[in-house]
Amino acid sequence: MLELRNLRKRFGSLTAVDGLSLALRPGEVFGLLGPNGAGKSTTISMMVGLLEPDEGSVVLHHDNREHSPQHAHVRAMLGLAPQSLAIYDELSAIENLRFFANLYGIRGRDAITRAQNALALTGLSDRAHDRAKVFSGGMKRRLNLACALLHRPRLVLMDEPTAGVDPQSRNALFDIVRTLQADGVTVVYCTHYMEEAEKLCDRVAVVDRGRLLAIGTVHELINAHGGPSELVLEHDSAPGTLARSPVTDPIPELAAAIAKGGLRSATIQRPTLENVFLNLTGRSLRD
Amino acid sequence: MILALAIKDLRLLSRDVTALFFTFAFPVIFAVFFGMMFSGGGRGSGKLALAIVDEDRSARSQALVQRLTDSGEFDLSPADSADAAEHLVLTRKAAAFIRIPAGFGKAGESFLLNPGNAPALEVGVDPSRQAESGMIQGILTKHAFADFGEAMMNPAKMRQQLATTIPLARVAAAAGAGPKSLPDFLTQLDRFMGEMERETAATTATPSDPASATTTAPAAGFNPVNITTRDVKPPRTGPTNAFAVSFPQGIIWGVMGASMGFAGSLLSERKAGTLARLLVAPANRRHVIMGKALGCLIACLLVILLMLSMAVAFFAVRPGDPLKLAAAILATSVAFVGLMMIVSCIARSDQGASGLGWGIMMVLAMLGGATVPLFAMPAWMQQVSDISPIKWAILAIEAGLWRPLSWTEVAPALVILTTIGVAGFAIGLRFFRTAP
Repeated sequence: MLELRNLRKRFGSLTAVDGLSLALRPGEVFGLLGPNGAGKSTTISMMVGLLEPDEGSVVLHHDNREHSPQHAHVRAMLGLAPQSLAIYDELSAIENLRFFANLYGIRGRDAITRAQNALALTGLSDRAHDRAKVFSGGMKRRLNLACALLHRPRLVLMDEPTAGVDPQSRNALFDIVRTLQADGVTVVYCTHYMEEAEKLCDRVAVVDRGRLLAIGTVHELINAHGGPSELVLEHDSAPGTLARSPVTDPIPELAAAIAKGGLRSATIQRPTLENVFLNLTGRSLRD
Repeated sequence: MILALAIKDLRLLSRDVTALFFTFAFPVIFAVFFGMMFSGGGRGSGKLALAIVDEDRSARSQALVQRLTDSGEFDLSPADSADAAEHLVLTRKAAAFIRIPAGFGKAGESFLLNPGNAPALEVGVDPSRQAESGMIQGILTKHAFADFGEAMMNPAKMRQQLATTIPLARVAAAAGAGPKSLPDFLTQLDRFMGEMERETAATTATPSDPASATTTAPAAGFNPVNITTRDVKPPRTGPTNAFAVSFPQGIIWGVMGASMGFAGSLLSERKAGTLARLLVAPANRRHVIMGKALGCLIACLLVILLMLSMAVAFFAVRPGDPLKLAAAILATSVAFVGLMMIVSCIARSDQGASGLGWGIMMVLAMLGGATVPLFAMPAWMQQVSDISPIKWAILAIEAGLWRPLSWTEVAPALVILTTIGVAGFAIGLRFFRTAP
């Protein structure tokens, strides 16, 4: 679907992307994880042709041919829902959608139908004629996504789509991602929220300082980089105090603890994607 | 695609109340306020200045002049001859002239006998002042009716009229040119009027009230005066009125407002992230820039056309040379598109564009005659103002309205404005194609 080949981008002395290579598979939801300044936004900008790489290339596979996203006609295959809300506050939801439809050469009845479909998909049909400026944060996010979808792209790039939205809107956005996946659309999902990536993504790439640190399914990454499970025990002698111990094989350890007696509760905590992320990128703050 | 971008920007402009105010309302307020101020609002009598020439010098013609003077409806300037009266109009010292030709009094005396040959008056008026022409004719007709009515109500005057009419009626009847009973009727009427005159003299010393006579309503199909009009077109050596100066200035404020709004919008697109989305769509940077430029051009054209329409409809501003005016409108709009592009290249943010843009524009406006009219500036200032494109814009628009400039004289202004527009557009295009 889309391939990054040894991608490199520098801004002065800062290397934002440093030899990044990965390939998206058609129809998958691909998570792009990384701390602030990891190079995610620069990578996305190069994926959609907004930035030209200094080295390497971005290749879109279409009709058995390789294309560069720099070419306008290929970009019609792409839909971008940027982190900043790329909508016009003074236009209504339907006006925003019709304007972007026009840019893709969709006009008249077709533009109206597609705009209505995009509004229905994002749950905004009732507010079609309200100006975007009166929308809540979650509604604006959904409209932002609707604008990226109305031309029916084959690859949708979503940059922090749930930033600052309430749980209802977040769930609605998850449903949209699942609907897109069911329709065979490839989705690149850029997020800081690990549980979202665990819930939605078929595969995940962890990047930091412009480099690819790990790539695979969530399960593969946890197994490879999540570290050991933790056995958490609470004894009758010290209620409320939890004793944690990393264990490679928790079942025999738990059996031994039960045999000793005086056990109030016991929990086995499997590693999560967050453990993977912190193990790979470290715990130092990024500003 | 470019059109879609332009329409979107115009729609956004139409929903921005502040931008709308500074683009459309403020320039109108500016033009009307300064137009009224330069008109000397309140100065003088406020009456229409008219020249009047009495070639007849009869009692009737002198009575009409007196009646017009007494009415206070016009600011009358007596002239010795028709040429002198016309000269006053040509030099704009009078809005029109009234000529009372020889024979006015005679025609009035025989009016009862021959109503088709009413006393004649000539009004000479600037063809661009049709409204005033209509008003003058209306007032003259009113006074003619009043005069006629007074004669009918005043037995002495009526008898005076009949004294000249009855012999003429007899001659006409003998020749078979009029009703045979008319001389008898007029004689009976004369006798009746004589009795009335004696009766009136016996009962009251007060003559008939002229004021009540002036209220006599004109009768349909009957006109006691025959007014002809003649076009007197003064040479265009100056503005027709103060609004012909203040409206070009207001237009400049309008296009400044429109273009600075667009300069800010180009930068706010980048800040808001909508520029990224536009560029991911199959639009390229050139499309985006051209869409902005087209939107700005349309907005500038709309502002100018709206203001000119208002000036023509409500403030008696007349396009002296429509072709030059059209060229000036287009060149001015193109120049301000270029200025918009340059400001959006220099500024780093939409607020920056607004502050910097208005800062630059204010200086150019002051130098260029958008605040103090060019002709009111000292000579050295008029030379300095050459550096401001606003001077050339005002000059070009004024050439289309009233300034007597030939195409050769107005061409430099049009070339300068177009060059600024094209150069600014090229700089903007190059900047945005390479900007990160």
